[in-house]
Amino acid sequence: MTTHSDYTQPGAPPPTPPAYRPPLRRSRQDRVIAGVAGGFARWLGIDPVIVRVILVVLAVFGGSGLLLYVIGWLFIPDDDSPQSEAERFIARAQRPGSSTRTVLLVIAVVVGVILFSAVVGSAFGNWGGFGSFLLLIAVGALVLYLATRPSSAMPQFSPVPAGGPMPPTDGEPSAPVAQQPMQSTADAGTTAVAPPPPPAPPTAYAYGGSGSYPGYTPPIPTPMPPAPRQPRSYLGLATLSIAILVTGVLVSLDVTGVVDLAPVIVPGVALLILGAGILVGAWVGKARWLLWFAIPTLFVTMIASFIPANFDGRFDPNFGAGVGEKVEAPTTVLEAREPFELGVGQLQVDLTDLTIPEGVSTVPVEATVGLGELIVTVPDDVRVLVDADSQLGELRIEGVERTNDPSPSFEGVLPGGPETGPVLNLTLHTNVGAVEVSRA
Amino acid sequence: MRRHSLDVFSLLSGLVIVAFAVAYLVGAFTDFRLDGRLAFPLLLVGLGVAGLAGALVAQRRSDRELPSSPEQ
Repeated sequence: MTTHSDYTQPGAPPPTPPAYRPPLRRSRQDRVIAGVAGGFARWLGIDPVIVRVILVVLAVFGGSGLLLYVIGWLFIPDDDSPQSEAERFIARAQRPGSSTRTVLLVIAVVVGVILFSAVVGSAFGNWGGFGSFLLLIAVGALVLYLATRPSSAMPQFSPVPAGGPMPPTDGEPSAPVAQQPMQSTADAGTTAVAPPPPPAPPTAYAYGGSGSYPGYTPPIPTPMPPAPRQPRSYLGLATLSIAILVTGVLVSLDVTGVVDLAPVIVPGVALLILGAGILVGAWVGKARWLLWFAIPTLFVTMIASFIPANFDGRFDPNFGAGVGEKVEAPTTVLEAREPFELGVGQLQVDLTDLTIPEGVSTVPVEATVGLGELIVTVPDDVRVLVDADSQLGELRIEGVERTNDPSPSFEGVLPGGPETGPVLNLTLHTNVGAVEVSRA
Repeated sequence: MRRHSLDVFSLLSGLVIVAFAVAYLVGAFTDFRLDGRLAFPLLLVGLGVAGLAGALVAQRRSDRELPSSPEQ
């Protein structure tokens, strides 16, 4: 364990790194999750923020940052512990009848369900990707939150006693007082408490502090009784585990065809469980941090709610029907009877030049776009019946109010035409995209 | 788990999340549909109210507890 005097060398050139490299330990004071980044940064003599940013970037791109962190957590011992978590865990699990085994079992079941649903999902549908996407968002959110959360222990690492950068106000340092307890507990265990450094000229330090001020004597750390240990609450962890477990089970049941769930159900149920956990935390235990899982889950729920229940997950672009922009302008009934198709892109069907011969009462026109836009223009002076639908998207039919429905359909008369005469019977469909019908 | 004094922030933010979950789950079985453009601002309003209420209650509690303690 190092004292702060290792870093505090009044009068010495500020950028000199400490001559003595502290042992690689997880930091007790500079800790966001388990002190891995803080301890590692101390060992390297750099700002912990740098380590945290790198870990988060690695976690987001590929997840290796998370893995590294967990490895660090398991195998680097704590500041005031001779054993690493892994060593302790093994020792505990070896004891007969230990609850650690039960915990292990639960973890194994949860991981198993997730893996199972992912494997089954990727084999039989789009659920695997969706589930891992959900998990990725949740984990990413947690890592981001933990890494960006302002750490109250941060000033611990500054080379000057806490509050150094603050301009002193007549021996009444208001800010340092708040940080004093941690300072003193850090020093309490060491035999030699660093004497207050003599006044030094203002200097800059590598960690952002502006150094000491002339005439400023930092307050001597007074040993404070350690803060009473808060009872730990496992409410959040339990709730999260239940949410993950239920998600896995629901997805498994859905992909194996036991039940048929609308896409919004799974994230919706997970959201409900997380919300209930937070709610219980209002009276017993502590589960506020579940919000960082609930918010991303809410976004996933929101997105999932746009996917209609009957949507089979297959976009079926039908590339064979063509890709790109296509304009059809039939002039004869025979041309118009040919079904118009486009796989991906924009299909314009212009019926303004269509001549309907005497004696023809109905002209059926069919058009389908797999993914994209279907734009139909009809003449002013013809009755038009529209039967249009989009499996996922929108309908823009002139004179007809648009709905919020993600899977809209419309069947009826296109407003604005004559009451009598021949009828254009439009049957329009798009898998994903928009259908637009307007009069010329 | 030990019972503690009411955590207003947890109570309100939990209610907000549960309300969203119920709204979406109900929407899956009925015609009710939460406007997607409204969900995000509603979340912000809910969490903001929860945070504000939590802060006010915590402030009142700490004001009530502090003045007596230095004398003892």
